[in-house]
Amino acid sequence: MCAEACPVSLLPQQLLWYSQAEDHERLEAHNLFDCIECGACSYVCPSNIPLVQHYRSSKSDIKKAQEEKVKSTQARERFEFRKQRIELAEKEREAKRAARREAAKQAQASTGTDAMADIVAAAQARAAAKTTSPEQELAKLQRAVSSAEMRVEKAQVKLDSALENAEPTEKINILSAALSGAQQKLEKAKVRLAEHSN
Amino acid sequence: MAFRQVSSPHAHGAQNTARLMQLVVWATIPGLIALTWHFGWGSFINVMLASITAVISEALILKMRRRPVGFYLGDYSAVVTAVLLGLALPPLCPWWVVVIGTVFSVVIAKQLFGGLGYNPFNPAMVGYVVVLISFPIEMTTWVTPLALLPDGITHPDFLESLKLVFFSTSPMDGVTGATPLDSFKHAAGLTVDQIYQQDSLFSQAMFAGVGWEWVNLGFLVGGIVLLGSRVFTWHGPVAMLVTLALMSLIFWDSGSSQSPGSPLMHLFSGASMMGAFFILTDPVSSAVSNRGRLIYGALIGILVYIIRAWGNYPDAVAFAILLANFTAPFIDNYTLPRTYGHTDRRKATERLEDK
Amino acid sequence: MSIVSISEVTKNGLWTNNPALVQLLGLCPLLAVTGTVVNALGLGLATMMVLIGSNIIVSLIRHHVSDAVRLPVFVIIIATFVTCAELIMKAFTYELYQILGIFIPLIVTNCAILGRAEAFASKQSVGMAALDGFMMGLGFLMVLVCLGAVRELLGQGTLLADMQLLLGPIANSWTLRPFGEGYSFLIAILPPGAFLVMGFLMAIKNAIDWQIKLKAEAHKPAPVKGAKRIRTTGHIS
Repeated sequence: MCAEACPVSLLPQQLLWYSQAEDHERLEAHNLFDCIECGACSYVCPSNIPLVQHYRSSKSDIKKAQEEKVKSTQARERFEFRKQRIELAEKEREAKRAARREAAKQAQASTGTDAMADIVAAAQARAAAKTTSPEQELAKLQRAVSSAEMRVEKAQVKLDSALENAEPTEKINILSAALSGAQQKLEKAKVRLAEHSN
Repeated sequence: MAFRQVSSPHAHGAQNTARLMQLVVWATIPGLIALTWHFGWGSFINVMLASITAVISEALILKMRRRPVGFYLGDYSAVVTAVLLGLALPPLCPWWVVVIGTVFSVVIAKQLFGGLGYNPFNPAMVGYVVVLISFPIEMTTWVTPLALLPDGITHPDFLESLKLVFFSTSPMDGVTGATPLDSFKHAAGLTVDQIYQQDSLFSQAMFAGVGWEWVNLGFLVGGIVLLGSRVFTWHGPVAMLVTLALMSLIFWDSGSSQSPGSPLMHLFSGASMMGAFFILTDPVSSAVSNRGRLIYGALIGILVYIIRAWGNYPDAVAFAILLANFTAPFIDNYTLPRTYGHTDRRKATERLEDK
Repeated sequence: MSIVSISEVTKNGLWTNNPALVQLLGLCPLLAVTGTVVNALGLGLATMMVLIGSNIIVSLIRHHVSDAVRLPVFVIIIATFVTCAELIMKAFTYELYQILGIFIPLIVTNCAILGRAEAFASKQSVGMAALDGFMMGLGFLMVLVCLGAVRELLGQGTLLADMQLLLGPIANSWTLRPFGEGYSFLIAILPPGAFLVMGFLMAIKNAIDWQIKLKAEAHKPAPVKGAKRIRTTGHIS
């Protein structure tokens, strides 16, 4: 009776079977989504089966399943894209490295050629860029001299205290060596300062 | 505050299963009257006995399955099964035939498959076939119609019939004879006209066989009443009857000795009308769509004729219907109706990805 | 290889893993020949013999047969034993052999036998394999005889008819007729009857299992109230 009552010619009996069995494929093959939930089938059903309720719950189940499917495909796509992107970046880096290696090799192979000259020129340019004004340079050298002086004094103090406390000879040797090293550095700094001032 | 979600419909039709089943039982009354008039009280006793057995066995099996007994008994489906089985069984057959057939119908064919609505086969026909296979002698002994009984002999009255049914050990003598389909089956080598002249079953009949034509007319009337009250659609019965008529017309062979009988005889003897209107219209075990029902009915018509004409059994409605029940899900797969708004029919097994 | 105990093998074969009732193997001969007790007993004994023999041999050669060819080897072993059984039946119970006919050679295709060879005998010691063959065979035999008895009783109203075919002249007068002469209920003898009776036997077995389970649950001590607490945080120690 329900099949005759249905305004869109569905088969309510079959739909009920498949919705109880949760057979979504069959339900869609039977055009469940063309059901307008008018309730005519339930109205005429002699067994009082709540057909429409079954269809509604099946419809929402199917929708949910579809949404989940969409979500999972999206997640998969995202993941795959990320993997691809990382791979691509890795490849690019690898290519850069390879290019640099290649350039170095070429440079080594052709010493004295134009490439070498280029590199030398580039290094000179860098050095030129680094040079600063003479005043700054002077201040820097003066700072170096004063810090070297301080180090010499400190070494002297340490050596004196060691001698006073009669420490072992090895330590005194080391300390005196340090003192002489510091003195040499001080000399060098003074020389450089003198050169610069000239 | 929560709103209850109620889906349509918000009203319900007055029809319910119990009323529908009662209607079917009432509709068998013309046929039952015809049977009782022509073949004595046997059919009436069959129906009563089967109904009582069906109700008792249904109650027991429901209890065993821990289902509400009153609710399921109240839908009258057991009674309908029993009435149909009782009408199909030969009158005055021993009581244990009726009881075994009914128990098989209700317990095994119906309840063990899950109860009303879940049975793949028509329960009444399963019971009928079980007893037909098991007790061939009892099941092929029919009572002679009233009009053909010799003068002075009548059918046993109600009490005597009861005695025969419950206490007789051997099949009844004196008032038994062949059915029209039997006579055709066993009259090899005779032309149809010769059979008609020789056999008083046909020579005294109006068009199909004494008594039988009235029984079938009775069921036809009942069936038309049911059709009028829209219990089922016309597709199944009409398809079956038309196919049966067509088949017998094709193989009529102008009444030669090879002919299995005229269309009229096939339509109005045996269980043709009862099968067409009361058995194959069972909404549970038949095909569901209108086109499917046409195919289903036609299949039954063909099978009935094939088994009647060339099979071992004189009548074949039960076998044909059981065989067609097997095919019903298959037919359903291929006969989905075109849904409103769609341009083509679909198959039930179709997947969306196939498109 | 898992070690199994004798009682476990026995219980498996006779009840929990019964080849006919639970595994539903070898149903074709089971349903076809169980019209009477004597047929069922004949086929059941033959099957049991084949099962024991093939299990023993399969277990003996289990270290010498490579995996690739094991199935053909098993089948040949089983076929050998079936041929033996057939010849024995031909020699001693010729009439029964004629009644059972094709179903004796068809024991080869009984998947219960190949299944046991594959699943059990090829992994266990000879003694266990023999015991398993015996118990599985006995389980199969019991179901066959039950089916045969029920179908014979319902179908033709006799019990133990024609037992002399199997057991010789002692059994000449064993036939019982509880319902008297002239009783018959054909459907029980015909194939549908076999399916119906088989279905009921399985239902009875499941019902018994269910009862046992219920009883076991009833005997289990009820969990003490408050013994289990659900803790959400922290530890007690």
